[in-house]
Order: sequence, then structure tokens, then C-alpha cells
Amino acid sequence: MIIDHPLCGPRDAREFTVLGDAAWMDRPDPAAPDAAEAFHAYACLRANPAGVTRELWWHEHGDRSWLVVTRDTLSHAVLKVELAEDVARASKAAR
Amino acid sequence: MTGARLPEGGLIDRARPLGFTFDGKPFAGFQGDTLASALIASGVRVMGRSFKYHRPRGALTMGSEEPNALVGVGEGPDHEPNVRATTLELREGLRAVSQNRWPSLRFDALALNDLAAPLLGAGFYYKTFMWPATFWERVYEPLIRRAAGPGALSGAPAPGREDRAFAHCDLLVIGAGPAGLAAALAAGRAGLRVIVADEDARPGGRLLAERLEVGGVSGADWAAGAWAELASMAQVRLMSRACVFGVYDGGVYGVLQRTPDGPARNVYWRIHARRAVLAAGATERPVAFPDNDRPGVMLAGAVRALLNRWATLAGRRVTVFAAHDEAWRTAADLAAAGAEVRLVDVREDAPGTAPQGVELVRGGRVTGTRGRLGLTGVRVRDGRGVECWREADILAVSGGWSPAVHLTCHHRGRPVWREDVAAFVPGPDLPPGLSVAGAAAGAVSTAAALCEGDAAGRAAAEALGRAPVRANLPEAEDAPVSAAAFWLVEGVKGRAWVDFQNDVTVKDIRTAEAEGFGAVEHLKRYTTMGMATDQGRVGAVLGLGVLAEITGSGIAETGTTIFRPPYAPVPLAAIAGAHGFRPTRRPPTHGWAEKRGAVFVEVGPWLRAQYFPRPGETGWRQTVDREALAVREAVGFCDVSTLGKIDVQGADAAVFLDRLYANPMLKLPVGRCRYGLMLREDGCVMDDGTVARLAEDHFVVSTTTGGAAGVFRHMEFCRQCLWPDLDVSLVSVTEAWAQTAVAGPRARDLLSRVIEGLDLADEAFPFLACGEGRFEGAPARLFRISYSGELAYEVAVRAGRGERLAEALAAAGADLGATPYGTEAMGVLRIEKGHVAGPELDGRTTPADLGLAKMVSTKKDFIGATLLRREGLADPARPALVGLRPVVAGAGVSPGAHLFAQGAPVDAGHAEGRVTSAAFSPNLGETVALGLLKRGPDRIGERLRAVDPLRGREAMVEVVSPHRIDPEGGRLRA
Amino acid sequence: MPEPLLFVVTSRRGAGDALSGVVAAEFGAPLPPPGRIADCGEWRVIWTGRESWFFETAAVAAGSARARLDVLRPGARIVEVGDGYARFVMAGPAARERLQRLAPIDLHPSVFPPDAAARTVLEHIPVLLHAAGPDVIEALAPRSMAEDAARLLDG
Repeated sequence: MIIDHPLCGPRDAREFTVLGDAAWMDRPDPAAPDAAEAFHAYACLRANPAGVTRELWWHEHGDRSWLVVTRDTLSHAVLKVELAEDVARASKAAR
Repeated sequence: MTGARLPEGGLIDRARPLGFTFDGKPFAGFQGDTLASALIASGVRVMGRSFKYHRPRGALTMGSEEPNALVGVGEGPDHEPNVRATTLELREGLRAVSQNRWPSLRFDALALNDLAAPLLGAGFYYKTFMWPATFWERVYEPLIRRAAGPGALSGAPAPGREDRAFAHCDLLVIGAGPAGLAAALAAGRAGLRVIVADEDARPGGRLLAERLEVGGVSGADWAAGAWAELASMAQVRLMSRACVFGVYDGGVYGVLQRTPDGPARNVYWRIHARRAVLAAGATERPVAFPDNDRPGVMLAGAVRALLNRWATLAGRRVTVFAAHDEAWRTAADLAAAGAEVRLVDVREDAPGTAPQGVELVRGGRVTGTRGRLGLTGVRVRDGRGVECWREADILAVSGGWSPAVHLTCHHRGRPVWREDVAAFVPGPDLPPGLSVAGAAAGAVSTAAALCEGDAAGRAAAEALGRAPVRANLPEAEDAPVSAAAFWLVEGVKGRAWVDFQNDVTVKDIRTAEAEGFGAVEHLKRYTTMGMATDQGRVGAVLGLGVLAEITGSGIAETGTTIFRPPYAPVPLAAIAGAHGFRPTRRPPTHGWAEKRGAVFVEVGPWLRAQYFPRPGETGWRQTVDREALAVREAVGFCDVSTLGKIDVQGADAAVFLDRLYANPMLKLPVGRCRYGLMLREDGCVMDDGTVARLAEDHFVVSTTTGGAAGVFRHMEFCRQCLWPDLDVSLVSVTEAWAQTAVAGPRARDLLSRVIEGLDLADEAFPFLACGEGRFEGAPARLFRISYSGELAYEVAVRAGRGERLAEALAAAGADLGATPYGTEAMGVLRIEKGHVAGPELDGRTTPADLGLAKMVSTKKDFIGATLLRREGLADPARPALVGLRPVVAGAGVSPGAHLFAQGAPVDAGHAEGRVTSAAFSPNLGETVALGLLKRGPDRIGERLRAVDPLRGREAMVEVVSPHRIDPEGGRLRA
Repeated sequence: MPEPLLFVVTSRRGAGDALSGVVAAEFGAPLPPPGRIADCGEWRVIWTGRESWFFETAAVAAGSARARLDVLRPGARIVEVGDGYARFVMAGPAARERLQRLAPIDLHPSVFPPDAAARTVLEHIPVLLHAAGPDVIEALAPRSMAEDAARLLDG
């Protein structure tokens, strides 16, 4: 699998480790009244789509950046690659 | 004797004769021969026995798709089974043996299976081997295992002569026949970086087997000229003996290159190609008729290749059975070489006149063969239905040609049926970047192949932004070819083979269809058709055609199974390569430890000194006991460089760490360390270590050896993905520092002799202090932390000085009794002290389980805080940390043993806990152990059974406090 | 020739551009863009991450090197890491080819020119690669893997 890193160019997946669903970026508010439920869903519940997913990949043997990779699990096509830091900032700004 | 070598012609070098043996018998051939061509030229036809029925078999093809002539090559660990004799290049001294026969090829006892054939049809093993059940493991399984697969492995470790390599190119050309060479020339001339890979040892593809001219010269000469032109281009890499076996994601191709003259036996290439052209040609297919599998029945193209490439007349009396115009070339070439040829074409309206000297039967069928150890006769039914037997040494069969579409399917594309060429051609959904040209795309003539290849090469150049160069294509034959889809001869009794390697016949296909397994995917698995090492390259399409006829649906409707990588067998040793998958990591003091005679242990990828035996010591226990005693009585030093070290800096460094650890970090004073407990988000302990504050905005964090990479990853995840607004940087410095633990009552004395610039008195540098000093003029960091429970420090110097520090400690500490100790003694010490480590931090334990509940802050959020408060984790019945001691003096306790109340049955339902760590304690004179026990801390004094069913051991243990040495911590704070 | 000194310099969050200005003023060239090296006379600056660079020098003694880099504070953090790396220099016409076999990234001169640097793996060993000339490639591998790296590069 080749991941087209926005800064480093196309890189072989062997330079990366995968964490899992990009849902890991949306850590719930611990002070909210339903925090326990929210954290349970956050840590334990995952959709497993046959189709487009967003995943978190870590460029361990590269620039040590985290990436959000949008990928089709059926065709394996990599549709989009973004720096996770930028995605995280954007979603914080949106909230 | 049937086969004979012609005195002239062919692509062999008669000036270089080669001697070889087959099943121990000596033979001779020439440079350029394969094992199969040399054997046939020597009159040998039987080369193996079929898998199930043990029928004598000869070479069916002359290519890598060969299903029958599988041999074993090489001695001892070099032995390779299932090598195709048809592609095995002959070399001097080659020793090959036939497979799947006992005692010999001529007299194979298991040929009895052939008589049992009615019982061994498709799916027979779903209906047998059921009764009695006691036979399953003791009788059936060993029998079936012995019968599984034709070849045998040597059983010795692979010699490790394999290599792996990466390569990059703009265009990968798969196949060096006319289409591939044309594509490569077009792309190379346009300046693309090109890699050309061909399975064969020389370029030309099918041209090597034909008498066709290209550009006015022989096909082989034209190919050699094109190859030479490509070789002269700096941006072109040529790979012969290279099989492209897989199309993977992202334009990555797997290629296995045989390098018989190189340092490695094989090279497994991973090629990153922006574009690729599949020019892999087509494979001929047989026809199903009774007894179509005898030695001497060959595909028509193979007989032609034997004649034209290897100057071997396979037989003098030849029958050609054709459904395809190309087979007529076989008849013509053989007649011109002096053979007696009869051509039986299934088509009433087969075009053209009979070649010179060839007897033609239109609308005919071959309905049977004779000759168990080699073809002697053929029965032909002519156009009017009259049957007669005629003598024949060779039956050359051609049911048509199937384009080599396999690679186009590796991304789930399906081939489509084209009526006009009576073949499956690549479908519309190709792997991205891959195009197809020539016979692989269904083109029938050499001129078409050249044209399509050239177009594909120019298209790739254009797609990659290069101006393609127009060149004149050489002249080549462009004859139209007609073919009929002909699968089986009807109305005759007798078994007709479809998959030769797995012994699947038309009858099996009928059986499968009748029993409800008629969908193509079911048919394949139920009959095992296409599942042998040839993966159906010869028989799969024939099998589908037979199924289509049996069911009466068209072949287009019947469809085809998908092909998956690898296209050809790939040895696992080649994928493993010569270097393994994991580096060995050595700490900076490794050389010093080696010189001191340390025994090493693997800790993940690291080699750590386990213990340091002294002359005269009889075993590791004696050494480890001495080391552990020395630390508590005097002073010891131990390398701890392998633990992860992470430099954390920034205005928000303290806030960052405070969110990561369960215990408070914000107010950690400058110049102090603190034990750090790091949880996963689900509340279980992930790792433990220390946090040292060197300055207001500068920390150094340590992790366990095994957890280092994971903690760093987790920290960067939090930094980038959860809290991107915090101003903090993380730098892994595990490699940059050599770190040594110095522990024992004399630790301060020893370090004062070696470290300058730092007052080590207890008031100036109390327990948990940290600071900077100098070692031999260079920076040294000291952390007063203790894993052993003794007065202890960890000293960090730059990695390049690590060995010097060890030498200095040994020299300066000689009169203090300073003792180097390894991981084993370190483990004894920490178990004596009751420190949790890896075996207790197994990913299922919480701080409360480990007796560390008081460390967890209730005033802040941190990773794991919310889910740590789950009811289930607060259950007091959870296994919690205890110490255990054997009741009987001198008894041992097995780590991993399960704990049971006395009198309780020993089963999973009654287990109350387990022993996590155990070691002999020389300081206490008995075995000490730690464990996790339900309600453990409330059961001090209770006696339990520690049962180890794996080793058949058991001990009675008493529950005690985990902290057996200095529980008040006075020694730590000395 | 003394072993070059190597420092990791990281910028404050979001302050990469400001730091680049300081580096240009103090060292003669701005910070290099992703995948590139900046030649600053005695110093070589290698991009290693979004807000992270290697500052390398063979011409300056350790004490003065640290002092020299102090001008970058407080906008930058500095960590000395040189001891953690083993340096390999591959020279000669076969150097690039030899490394290419081991590395999954494209090392062709057209895409990996002399001012290019990349962190990748050679087989299973993480490295920083840098083309120092048409026939010279340098590789920095973790110190603990030096023996394995040497065996790999010897072929």
C-alpha cells in the first residue's frame, strides 16, 4: 500500500503503523453528564464499513507525523491523505 | 526410443555439451536445453506420476505452466521440490529426481490408486474417512499427510541464499515477447525509466518457438537485437528469469527473479511502477478426450517449441489434434523436419489446404489413446464417423489459446469471453496503471502484438509527460487466425483429464455439477480443479468449457473464477530474504559487557546482559545469587539504556504530562523525579516509568524497554491529534544516552568517585532528586530513583561514553566490591522489593489491582480517567497484587501457576488468581513470588495451592505482603 | 576528522516561519522545506518533520556548537542527539544502486538530488538518507542497530 504523504510524497506502508479508526481523534468531554457512555463508545465501539473509512496512520519511520487516511476498504484506493494535526485543529475550530 | 535430436538448428549451443542425471541415470544435453528438452531428446518420455492416480506422465507443455513434469532438484538443504522440468535450465552436473512414485518411476506401487479410481472421484474425502472416529488422528491423518502433494521438502533449514530488493520505474513491461519488446522500445526511446521482466532466460517469448521472421530476420535474432538496444539505454533495466507474480496496491508489483549465477538463489523484487504493460502472451489449452494424459500427448505449441527451439523431434509418427489454426503450424514444421504427420481438425470448415506432406482429416475427433508408459497409438473418428487406430509416438493437441490474464484479476477484475478468439480476455476493470498488449489481450498475430505493444509504450510515455517517438515497426506475419471453442469429445467412454496435476477428469465435473456444486467457485473447490501448483494455467479454462457444455449454458454465462497472487510459486525463503524482519539492538555498553563475559538474553529486539559469570561458578543460579547479594550488601551497577527516554520541552510540557499520567505532574518541582503511571483510555495500565523535571519547561520521561515505541507513539498521538494547541515538543533520546543503574549501600560512595560537579549528600540530593554533573568532563545526568529498593541512582552519559562509564565504575569500585549485574539479578531484586513490572503490567491490570490506587489523581482529567471509574474496575473481587511464599522450605513456585483454595477442584471455574513473577531470593533464602489474587490484600496469611498443570508441578503457598525487603523504605532514603 | 555533532531543533507550535527568519539571519539560509537540506556553511540543516530539523556540524567543537544554537532560543528547543546515530557513507557508482535495493523510496537522481534528505527504512532499519553528491549517499542509522546496518550495507 502506498500512502501519498502531503509533505514526504508517496511512501510505502511499511514506514507506518496504523492505529485504527479516525474516531480516536474525537475524544469526548470528560465533564459532560454522559461521559461514561461517550467514552465507552469512543474506546470500544467501531463501525466496520465495506467502503470508505478514515483511519489514523503514524509515520513511525518517516517524519513522525500522524495522518488521516481516507481509504476504500473494498477497492483499497487511497482517496485522501491529510495531516492529522491540521484535521484536529480544524475540528476544534469548528466546535 | 521416440525423441531424437536434430543435427542442426535450434537455439542450443552444441559446442557446450552438459552431463546430468535423472533418477540416478546419466544423460547428456546442451547449453540452452531445459531438463525436459534434454530428456526428450534422449528418448525419455515418462517424467513423473500423477498426484492421485499415479499414472505415468510426461511433459505436457514446454513452459512454466507445466502440470506433469515436476521434479526434485538438489541435495540436502538445497533440495527444491516441484521444479518444472520444462523451465529448469540444464547445467553441468544437474541431479534431478522424479516425484510421487515408489519404488520407481517405472514401477509405482501406488498406481493401484488408478484401479480404485471410481472411489476417488471429486469430493470423495467429504464422503469417506468418517468411521471409526478413533482412526482420524492415528490412521487417516498420517496417511493423508503422506499422500499430500507430489514433492517433499528436505526438512533442513533453508540455506539462506535469498535476497530481496526494491526498484522504481516509470514503466514495468511484463514479458519480453514481441509485444513487450515493442512497448519497452517505445517507452525507452521516449526517455522513460523502464524495467522489462521476462520469465525466460532469453528474450523473445513465443518467437523462440516459431519459425516466424520479424523485420526480415529470425524472431530470436530480432528479439536479441531489441534486447541489446534496450540494454544500451541507461534508463532501462532488463530482468531475465524474472516472473511478475503479483499486482499489489499502489502500483507495486511482486517479482521473483531466479539468479542461478548470483550470490543468492532468488531475488524477490518489490517494484514500484507508475505504469505497467502486461505482455505475458497466451497459454495453449488441451482438449478433453479419453486417456488424453499419456506420456507423449503434448500441446501442439510445445511440440513446435521442441522442434524449433531445442532442435528435437519429439516423435516420428505424429498426430496433430487441432481446434485452432495455429496447430497447423506444428503439422507443417514437423512434416518439414521429416516426421509422418496426420492432422485431425475438429472443424468441418477448417480453412486452408493441408501443409506439404500432411494427411488432413476435417471434422475429425481423437477418441482414445494407447500406451501406458508412452503413447503408441491414437484412435481417430473421421468426419463420417468411422473410427480406426493408428500408430503414433506423439499426439500434439491444441484446443486453443488462453491469454495470460491472471495479473489483470489481482484487483478483483474479471476476464470476459470473446467469441471471435474463443478465449477469455482481460475485462474492463484493470488494476490502476496496468494496460495489456499482444496475445495477452487477445491479439492473434505477431504484427498485432508489435503494434499493440508499441502503442502501449507510447501511451505510457504520454501519460507521464514525455513526447513519444514514432518509430517504424518491423514487418511481421499478420495472418488471421480462426478458432473454435472445442472442449471435449462426446460420446466416448473413458476418463478424460481436465486438470492434469490434481487428476481432475470430466467425470469429476459431471459429479460436482450433479451434486449441486456447479457454480464455478464451488466447482473449483469441490473438484480441486485449478488448485495445484500450476493453479489451473493449463486446465482451468478447459474445465469451465466442459462445465458450460454439460450444463448447456454458454461459457460467457458460466464465467470464471478469479486469479489471485502469486501467479507462480514463490518460496517463503525468498520473501523472508537474508536479513530477517527485525534488527538486533545492542546497548552502548554491549562491547564492555562482552569483554566481561556476560551471558546475553533477548529482550524484544535488544540483547541485554543477563548475568556476568565469574570463573569457577558452576551455573547461572550461583552467579545471579552472588549479584543480587552484592547489590544489597555493597553496590552493583547494571545497564538500563534500553528503557525508553523521551525529551519533553515546551511552555505546555507540564500540562501535557499531567494529562498523560494518572498521577499529578503539574507541580513536580524542578530537580525532582516522580514515578509515572500511564493508563490506556480504558483505565488499564499501559506503561510505567519516571518523569524527571530538569527545568520549568524541560522534562525527561522514561518508559519500560518493551513499551518505549508504543509510549512514544501514544505521546505523539496525543500531541498531534488530541491537543494540537499545546506548545510541546517530543524527541526520543533512547539511543543518545547510555544509562546505568548504580544500587546498594555503597552507591553514593562509588558515584562520588566518578561524578564531578554534583553534591551527592542526602540533604543536597535526596531520594527522587535529579540533576546534572560531569563524567570525565562531559555532561552526566543523575536520577536518584530505585528499582531494587536500595540506595540507588541512574546515571546517564552520552552513548559514546557508556563503556567508559562502566570501566570507570568497575575500576573505582574495586575496593567497594562493585559488581556488574544483569537483568536476572535485577529481576530478583525488584521481586524481593515488590515492584510491579511487565508480568504484572499485562494490559489487564488497573492501578488498584496493583496496589497503586492512591497514586491516581481525582482532581484532573487524564487519559483513562473516565473509564477507570467503571463499576467493573472497582469490583473488590478483582485479582489484586499479593506476595506469595512457599510453605515448604526450599520449594519453588512456578510463574504462571494458578491459585486454588485447598480442597477446591483444579479447573478454570475455581481458579482464584495466578502467580505473575517468581525467583529465588538469596537475600531471604527462599523463593519469593508476586501474584494477582481475588481479594488478595484481605487474605494475608491464607494458604493456597499454586498449580502448574503445564509442567505438572504444584506448591503450597502463603499469601504475604508483596514488599519483602525494607517495606518502610529506609534503605531507599539513606 | 571529528564525528559530526547532531542536534534536534524543534520550533514552538506554529512558530516555524519566525524561527526560519532567525535561522536565516544567524546561519545564512532559511530553514529547508520538507525533504530538503539547507547548506549553511559550517552547519547543515535537514528537514525531519513539520516543526523539527536536524542541525549538523563537523566544523565546530561541542561546547561552542551548543552555544551557537542557543541564539535560536526561546523560539526553539534544542536536544543533542548525535551519539544516538551511526553514520555510514556510501561512495562510488554502485552506492545509489546498493541503497536503492534496500529502500522503498525512489533514490533516482531525478527525484533524490544532492539537497534531498528522507527518513525511511533500509529493510527493517530506520534511517535518514541524504545524497551528498552524485555518487555519495550518507545514511544515519540508530546507534543500537549499527552492526545490523553495517551488515546490510556491506551486502
